[in-house]
Amino acid sequence: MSELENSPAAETGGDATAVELELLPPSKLLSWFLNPYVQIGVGSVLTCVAELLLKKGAVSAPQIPWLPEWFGASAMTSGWTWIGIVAYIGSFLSWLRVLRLVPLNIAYSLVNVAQLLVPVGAAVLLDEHISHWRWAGIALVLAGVCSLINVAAEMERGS
Amino acid sequence: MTTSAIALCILVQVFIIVGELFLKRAMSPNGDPGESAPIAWGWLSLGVACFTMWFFLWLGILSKWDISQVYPFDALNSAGIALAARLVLNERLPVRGWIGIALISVGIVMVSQS
Repeated sequence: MSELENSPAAETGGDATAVELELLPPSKLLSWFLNPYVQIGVGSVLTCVAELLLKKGAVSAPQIPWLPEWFGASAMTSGWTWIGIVAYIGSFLSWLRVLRLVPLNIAYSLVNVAQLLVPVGAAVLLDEHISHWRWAGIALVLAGVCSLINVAAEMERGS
Repeated sequence: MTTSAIALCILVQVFIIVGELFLKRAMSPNGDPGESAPIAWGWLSLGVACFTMWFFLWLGILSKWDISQVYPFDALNSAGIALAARLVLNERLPVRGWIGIALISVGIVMVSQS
């Protein structure tokens, strides 16, 4: 019986998931996921998703007449807004984790990858247009992000 | 975009910059990175208050202008946050780091101007 437990792959004829789980145990996967630089990526994607949902909520909800136009509380009547809020809370928690471990100036600039995701996401999902000039700007942002990642990696090694 | 829209976008950025400084103070009270330091809940709630204000102003902005038109105002942010972190939190960066931040800011302004 114990011999069977020790070799589940042999018994099932090479169970791929069992092998994969052995290579990446959940604890390792979790510590990789909790790495602040991975969290910066996770947070950026969540922010982008939240942003698009908020936009959808903000334009789909009717303006409450007695509220000033610049105050967005009318959007709270839309379900999209609330899903957006959940995504924001997720990105906020991830951001707090990042702030614990990474200097603010580096972390904040890196989170600007979301700057690229939002216009690109808006173009794809909401049919907003992206010009050549805008693509050039996106390339500059990417170059800046690369340079900062380089600095951050050096600081990590130094500390 | 009208002047008042731009002013509103800038005000929103100020809330973000101040909020981020509060959050950073809250999560690493002594300025050094580490998971062991206690969380400063007072600073954290001040940060959350700033982001609550930001949230409602931002919803107002989103309801009136294109998302790709207003979002790039965060260009101000990258530079503003980096300066504030240098001045208030005394975070230091090598020149390459500042160049990176400048590239990001210029890139985002270009995105917003097109």
